[in-house]
Amino acid sequence: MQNTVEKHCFNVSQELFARHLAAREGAQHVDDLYLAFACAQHDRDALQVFESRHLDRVGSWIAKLREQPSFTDEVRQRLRERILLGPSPKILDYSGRGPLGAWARVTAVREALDLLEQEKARRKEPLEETARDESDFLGAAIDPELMILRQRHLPQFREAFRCALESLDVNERNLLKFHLVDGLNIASIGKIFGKSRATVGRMVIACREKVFEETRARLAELSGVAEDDVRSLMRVLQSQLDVSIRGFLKAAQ
Amino acid sequence: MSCLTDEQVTDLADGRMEPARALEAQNHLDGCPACRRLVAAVADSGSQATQPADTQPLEMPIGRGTAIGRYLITSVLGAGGMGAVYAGYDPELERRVAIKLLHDRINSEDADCEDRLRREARTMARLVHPNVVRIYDVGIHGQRTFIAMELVEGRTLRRWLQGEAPGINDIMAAFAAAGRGLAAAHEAGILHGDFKPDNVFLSHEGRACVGDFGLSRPLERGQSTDSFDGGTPGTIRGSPAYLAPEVMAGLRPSAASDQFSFCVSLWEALYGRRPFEGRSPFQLLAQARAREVHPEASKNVPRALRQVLLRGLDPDPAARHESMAALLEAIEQRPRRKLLLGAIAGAVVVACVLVLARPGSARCSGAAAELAPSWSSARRTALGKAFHAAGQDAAWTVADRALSTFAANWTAVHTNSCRATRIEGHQSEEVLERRSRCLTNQREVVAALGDLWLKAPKELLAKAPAALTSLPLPATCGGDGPLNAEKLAEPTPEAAPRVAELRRDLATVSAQLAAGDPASALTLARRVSADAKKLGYPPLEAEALLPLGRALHQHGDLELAEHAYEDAMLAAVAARHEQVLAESLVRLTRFIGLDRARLEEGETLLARATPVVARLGDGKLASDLEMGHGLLRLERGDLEGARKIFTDQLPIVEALVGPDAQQVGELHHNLFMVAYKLGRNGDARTEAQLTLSILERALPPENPRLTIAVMDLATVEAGLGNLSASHQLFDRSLRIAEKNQGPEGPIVAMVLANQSEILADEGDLTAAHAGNERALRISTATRGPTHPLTAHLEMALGLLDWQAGAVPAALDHLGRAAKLREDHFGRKNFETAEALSNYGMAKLDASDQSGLGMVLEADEIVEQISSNALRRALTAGHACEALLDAHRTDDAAPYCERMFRAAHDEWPTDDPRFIETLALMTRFDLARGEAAERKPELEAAVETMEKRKGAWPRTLVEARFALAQVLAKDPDPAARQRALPLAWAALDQAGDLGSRQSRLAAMKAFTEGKTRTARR
Repeated sequence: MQNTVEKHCFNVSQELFARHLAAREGAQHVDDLYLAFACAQHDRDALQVFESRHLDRVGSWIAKLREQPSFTDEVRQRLRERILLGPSPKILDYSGRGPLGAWARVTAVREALDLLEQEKARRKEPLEETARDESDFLGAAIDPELMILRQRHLPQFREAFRCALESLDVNERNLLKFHLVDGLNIASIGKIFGKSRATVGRMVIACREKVFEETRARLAELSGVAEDDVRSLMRVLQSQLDVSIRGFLKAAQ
Repeated sequence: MSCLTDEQVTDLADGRMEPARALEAQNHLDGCPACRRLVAAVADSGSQATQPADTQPLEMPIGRGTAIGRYLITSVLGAGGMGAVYAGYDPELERRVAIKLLHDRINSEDADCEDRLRREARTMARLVHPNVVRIYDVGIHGQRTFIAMELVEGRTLRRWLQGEAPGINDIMAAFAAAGRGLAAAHEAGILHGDFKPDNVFLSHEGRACVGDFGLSRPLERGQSTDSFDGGTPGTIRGSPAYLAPEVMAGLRPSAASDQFSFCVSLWEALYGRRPFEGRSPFQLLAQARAREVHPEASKNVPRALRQVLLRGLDPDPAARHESMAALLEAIEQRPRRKLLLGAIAGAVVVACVLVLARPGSARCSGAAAELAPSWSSARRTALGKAFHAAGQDAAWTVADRALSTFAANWTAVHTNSCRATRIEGHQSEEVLERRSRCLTNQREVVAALGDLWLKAPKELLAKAPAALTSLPLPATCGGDGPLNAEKLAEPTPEAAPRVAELRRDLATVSAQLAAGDPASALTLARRVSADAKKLGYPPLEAEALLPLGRALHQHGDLELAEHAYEDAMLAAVAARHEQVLAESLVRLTRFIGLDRARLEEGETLLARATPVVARLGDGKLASDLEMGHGLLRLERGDLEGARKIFTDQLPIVEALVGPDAQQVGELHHNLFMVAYKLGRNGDARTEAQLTLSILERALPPENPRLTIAVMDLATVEAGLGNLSASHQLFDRSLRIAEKNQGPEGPIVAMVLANQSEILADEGDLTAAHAGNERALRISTATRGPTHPLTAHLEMALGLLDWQAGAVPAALDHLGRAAKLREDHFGRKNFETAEALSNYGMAKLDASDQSGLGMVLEADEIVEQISSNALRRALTAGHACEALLDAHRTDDAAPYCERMFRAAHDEWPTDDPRFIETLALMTRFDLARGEAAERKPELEAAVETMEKRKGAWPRTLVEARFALAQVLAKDPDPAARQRALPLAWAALDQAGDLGSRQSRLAAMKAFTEGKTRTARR
């Protein structure tokens, strides 16, 4: 969303724009829609405005994914090709319901994620990833006795843990995923759920508690696990809960 | 659900998604890591995505308890495209409000933008209509704009239509109400710009109101076909499906385009789909041109109604209905006749409403009949007889004129308001009802006043003229006041008759107060107040406390009056009674700040009252408050500020009450006080003459109010040296005061105080002292020992004692005066400085050297804060004199020169005050041995003063003595010979007048020394 103070007039057909606008029911950001439309017509001024207003900020949008000027440049170039060029540029898909800046941001992040994915595929290291994930599960116990215990009960434990995570509701599960898998900070999570940081903090703690208690209950239900073993396993889990949840959730994807 | 769209991703990441849709999205994320990762990455990309980095503000999250402007957020209501909406609370008015916080940021450095916002806010706030969501306030929170508006508890029209599938009658009723809101907006010059079912709210009580005038702009008639903003389509806003074709094509929106949107919405509500369903404006346009609406007809929708709507949907704005009002009329009449044939149960009800509404509508000529109990020719004759019998024909002439004016204005407002609703149809029933209630109330006050006069004793009839300034102004019922006030809670049906009865009693209290019978008013007000409390109807409690306060105030129980006013204010807050709240704040401001002389509290109250009164929009109250503001400024010593306020008020008050009314005279009186205090005697005389002539026209002769008007003119005439005129006026003033108040009234004290000052200037110290002492005694008893007037009288008496040589008594009075003024005004104030300077001089005369420090400090204060030449000349003159007395000629130099310059700039050379400084300046020159060149000036001065025949004798003494001293050093022997007789004349007269000891001693020493030399 740009400052509404600044208005532009581009050299494009008003009639065509009116037609474009009318086809977009519910458009609320008409100024943005107008800019996007003009960009799609390859109007030079419009492209310049789009460049300075949105593309210049790509770096900050994807900084958390990879903060590297060459990576940013690549994302930006791909973005230009994808959304601005060609006979039917993708920017025409922008509906005007939300701000153009937000649309550009999500498109840029999408592009960056794609690039990272492709890179990963080129490096051909998927096995290593899963292996590390597996080892994360239930942590790397140092105590040899616990190592044995873990080895022995891993299937039951995994089942109990899965049930425990299932028992969470969608929001709680996504909360933990955002927090532990995506490494999103509490403030950003709060925004997604419309909650304050303190509330999100409390929710995270409550979810952990729930997972822990659920796992213990399920583990006790499953045959073949001795009570003593349950207690020992739970002790391990308690010290490694976050790592375990992260490992499990990642593996589950 | 399939993968999230880009918008859903950003909405979710930024927390803008509605709860229901958010849950759906979360469900999807649970099973789609790719989408989740995208949301996480976008959420992590920071809010800088929406703002350029340099303008991104640090924003606190908005939650319960967040303060936005003066409002507290209590919960989130929802989020929309334009911004989030919160439920909030206004602690000042104790009401719930809705707060919309817009997404769009404004550039805080762009003053234009803020300005435009405020202008728009004012426009919107003016629009008060039961079918329009009321805008209370617009402001800035951080860098975002917020709008505080009426909280409508209910749902949008769209949800209602979808959720309940209402019948045609309910639909028509809701749309007719919304249409009236839209029509009222158009009437006020405001366009909606985005009318659709989502922007109309239906409260739980079934009231429909149009909201979200967010896209509206002031209406410019006759410009609907102009290209708009240079035809920049980028500025088109609104929802295309409801937009008129001309707006979609980039033309300027108009009332007709709102009408189009309204018809699309109503069509959709009736038929379940919109009339044109083309995807492009060309399709839409083509369909509309060919009247190609979807063919399906509905049994329930009469053909006539369809025709009415089709006209509203005409592609040519000029071919649509003339206005929203015309459209509504068409809707309400034609289809309903049809509906009767349809024999739908609801239609019968509608018809009954129509039947009930119509008969009254054609007339609007009932004003005279309704007014009859208050004012009719029979009543006029009866009142005239009563006044005549009491020997008050003069009072009747004035009262008759005022009552006739009231009746004429009342009838006009009544008729106009009735016509606006019943005939022209642009005013809602509720507004009519509010205006009528206001008018009824005014009529009852006037009726009660007449009843009172018919039975009243003679004394009360004599006070009739004073009552006339309290006559209600019907124009206020026709103005914004009755509309802006929050609607009061209704009493229960059982309580209603009693409430009406007590309200009539309150009208009587107002009449008694106006008539000048505070004792009866107090008795009745106490009873009504107690009864109101018992009844347990809070608005009435507040209404009763205010007259109780006024009665106590008029009766002189100031302590109790203060409590009653405060209680009235609190009760008004509790009952959400905006009218009483505003009125009690205005009264408290003036009462505390002026009557109780607690300036700072008064100023605090003023600050509280200002927004409340402004919001109410009652012109009379606003003007009352501004007058109080000016008087507080005057009291504070900010003369220029006060002058500006009074000058600004002059045309407003003249418009409110007519140019010959007493209130206009009062305003000129205030302007007189300012001019007088500023030392502008010419202006002061003009204002005093204007005051007197207006009051003489507005009031019968000998009316008590004339006392002060006459006295003011007397004072200013004396200042200009017209002593005999002055004395005549003073005598007339005192005569009126004593006649009205008896010999001990506070006004008598005031006249005496002023006259004493003039007598003292003339040199009649004995008479001055006697008058002043009597004034001080009265003022201490009636106004209290700390009142500024009492302090002023203390100082005046001290100065008289000092001049008469009674130094201990002088020190006593002057010391008290200085302390009282300092306590009242603070030290850095020129009233205080003046008292301090006088006190210091008296101390020096008593050989107390600490006086010098006070004199110098006083001058420093005045030098810092005052541009008033009179004050500067006084304190600098005292400093000059004190240092000369101490033989510190060099130290005296800057003070003497400053004094003389100030005097020179301010007064002509024949003004006694200038001559006084000239004499002092000569003393200074003599001390430095270079006085010869003053001779011509002094010769002229002595001649001038001798011609004044006795006025300002002390100045004549000083002028003569100064000239004598200069002549004594003249090389010309003939000149030297004139010195001695002059000096003797001065000394003789000084002895007669009673003069300061040190001056007498100095004159004696010089004169006797010269005499000895001459003998030798």
